[in-house]
Amino acid sequence: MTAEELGVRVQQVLDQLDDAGQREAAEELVRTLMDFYGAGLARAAELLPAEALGDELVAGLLVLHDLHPQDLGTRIGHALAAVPGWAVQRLDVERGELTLRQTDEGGGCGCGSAQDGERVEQLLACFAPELTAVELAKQPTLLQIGTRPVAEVR
Amino acid sequence: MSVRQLTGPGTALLRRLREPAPPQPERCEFCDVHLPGEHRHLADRDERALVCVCPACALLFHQPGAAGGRYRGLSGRYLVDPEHQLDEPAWQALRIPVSTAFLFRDTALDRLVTLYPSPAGAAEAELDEAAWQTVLDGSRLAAELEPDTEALLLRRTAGRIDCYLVPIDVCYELVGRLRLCWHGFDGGAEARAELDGFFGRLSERARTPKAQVRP
Repeated sequence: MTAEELGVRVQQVLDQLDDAGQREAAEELVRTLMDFYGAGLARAAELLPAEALGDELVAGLLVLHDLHPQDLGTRIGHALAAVPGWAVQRLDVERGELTLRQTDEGGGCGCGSAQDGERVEQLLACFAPELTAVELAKQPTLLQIGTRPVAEVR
Repeated sequence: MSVRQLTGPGTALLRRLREPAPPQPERCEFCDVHLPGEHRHLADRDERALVCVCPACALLFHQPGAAGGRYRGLSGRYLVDPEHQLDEPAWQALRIPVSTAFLFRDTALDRLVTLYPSPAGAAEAELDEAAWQTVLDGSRLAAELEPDTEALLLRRTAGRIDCYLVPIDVCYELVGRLRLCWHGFDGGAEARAELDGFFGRLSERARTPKAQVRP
């Protein structure tokens, strides 16, 4: 489960509570637990081996608690390592916008990129939740135009 | 080309819950209705505390002797007496350890109580009742002072001592404000600026008590 999925699940549970007092109490419960886990995680973060920083689940937790030690570009790199075929074309840190370009041509028919898009979004939500938009720039598909084979003279 | 907006409502929720809970709006302690930031208070004689109330509940206790006299509404008057100024020897006699203090008559204890602002809230000063009586004798403000609900608020600055009669919640408001900006031993520049502003507003608001017809 990613942090985003957890958040959505928590929201669903909160939405079942109608009474204002109940809802505040439930939020306080989540807050207290996050506080506790976050405090422990802050200690653990200093002891983590470097490879853990690229792990989807570990990094998701660290990022959620603002404990991930690496900058945005590096974290985007971790995300892209999990979906081969995409590289950063442009990153606007100020506006939180990222443009990715395809590095291999694939089949040229665009198949697979729809699934890629969802996976990229999921990974970016995990590693770089400060991004607000991502653009997948596809390579133009080039068609080879050749001469017709010369007809055989009978 | 396709631009995807990354919203992440789940992550946003969790990040919001990482922040401390927002302060809950205050409620009327009698009927539980939500109160605005500016609201009325009653003085609780038995607990020496202020009770936040809505206007409707405040009216219920307006009647003298309501609730056995335990809760009393605050008058809302601000008085100053330019003719009766405390002087330096009088201030010395009061032995107030700080520059700002307030004093009121506590009916539960049946004596005068002096409190002063400190970083830990209102602190009680040892009080020499006889010295106070000497200083306050002949003061119109002291004569006007209602027990439990009103206080004399004193501040000593270079060369002068200001004395105002104010509703007692104003004194606790000042204590609260100073607590928020108190730095170091004497409160620091920020606390002094807060005090200056507070007493500036007081001097604009305060009126002279009506002249009493003496028999």
